[in-house]
Amino acid sequence: MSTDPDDIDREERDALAGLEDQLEAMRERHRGDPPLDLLRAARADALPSELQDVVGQHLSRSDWSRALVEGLEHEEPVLDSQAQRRLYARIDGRIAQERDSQGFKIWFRYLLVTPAIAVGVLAIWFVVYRPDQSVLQPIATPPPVAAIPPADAPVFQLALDKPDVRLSPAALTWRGATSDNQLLADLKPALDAYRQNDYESTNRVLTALATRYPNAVEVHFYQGIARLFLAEPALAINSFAAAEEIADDTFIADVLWYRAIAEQHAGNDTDARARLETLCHGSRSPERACTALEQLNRSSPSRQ
Amino acid sequence: MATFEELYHQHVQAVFRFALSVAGRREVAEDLTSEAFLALHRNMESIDQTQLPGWLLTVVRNRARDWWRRQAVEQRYADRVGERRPNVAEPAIERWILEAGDLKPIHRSCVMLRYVYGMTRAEIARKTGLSETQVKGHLQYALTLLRKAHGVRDT
Repeated sequence: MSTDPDDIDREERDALAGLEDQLEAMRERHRGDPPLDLLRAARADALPSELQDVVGQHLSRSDWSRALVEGLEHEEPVLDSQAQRRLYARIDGRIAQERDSQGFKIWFRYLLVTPAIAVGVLAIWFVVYRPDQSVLQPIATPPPVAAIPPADAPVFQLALDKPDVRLSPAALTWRGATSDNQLLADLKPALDAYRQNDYESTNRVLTALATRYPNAVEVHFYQGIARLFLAEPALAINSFAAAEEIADDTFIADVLWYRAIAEQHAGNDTDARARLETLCHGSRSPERACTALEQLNRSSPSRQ
Repeated sequence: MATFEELYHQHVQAVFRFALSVAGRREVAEDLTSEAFLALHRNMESIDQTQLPGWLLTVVRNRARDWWRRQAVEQRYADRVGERRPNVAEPAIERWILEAGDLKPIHRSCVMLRYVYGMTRAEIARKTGLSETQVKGHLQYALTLLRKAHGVRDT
């Protein structure tokens, strides 16, 4: 929150003359209020659930913040006709893109299926109409050809991307014996190291914190991520298992996602697939998980 | 049964207004609006059109939650939550802003945004969807009332 805006004019200064101390007191009183955009989103129940609780509680307590957002609800921002047309063209373009992609999928399916059918027909023809079938010596069943990749074939691994640091509302509102948020203070060195890609330090600091804050999802989650980057998927699974027990709405999707990666990197494709299926069919943003599931199924179809 | 284009023109203003109120940024509001209409297009066959625009607003609300989650807003908000609320007594002017009968809700919000949150008129215009001229008019009206209420000299 800044103090006076730069473009304040003489008329405003005159009108406010003598009230500077009161204005400053108001600024001080509301310095820690949630930002306007958060207040408005909370008013419309459009925040992730835990954050919604925190900001919603503030709104219900604060006459000031309520008056601020209520005043803006009476205004009617509009899209002018040009903006409406532009937006429609954009939506129309996306629809066309989806249609094309759908068409491509069907065409691609045909491309895959047609040769398979041809091979199948040929095989049947060969079995049924093979010449001199009866007089030939019995043919030993050919040994099944195992689809073993060559030794130097790259092993498929789900891609690991680094998630940004964020905190659960439980951590944000954490209160210990004192009124200060000691959890955030203790997490800071670990999260600073994490931001600098120093995963050894992240892991070390979080290991120390895990016993002190067993119910802080951040401790287990970021330790799991650090261990993944340290190529320790089995240890990462332990961390994510602890995080899974206590994760709230803010974290649960990410915990499942990174545990799936850890399981897959550890060779447990079935466990990875189970979590990806949960995310693909049950989360609000399933695209990433569905794509990964497809990749995983393609890479190890026999275990589906 | 209305076509997709007819439904778009019928509901786009309401959907956009709602999207702007939950995201606070015009470009994000446009993204959310187009996502909602794309979802409508995908579900045109199954959707009960009498449920519009509520159905579209629900899509916007859900997408907005995802968007806020992606902003990692908790991290930034954490810094503010950590600050202790100063023990400063409520000044008379604050009560006046909240209770002055002649002030409309939008006057109140403009005064708060300008003199407490330190926004320029252009920033207030962007946040509210008003023009800068309208913002200026609202502020002038509020200041006139303030001068009368607090006996500040006229210019």
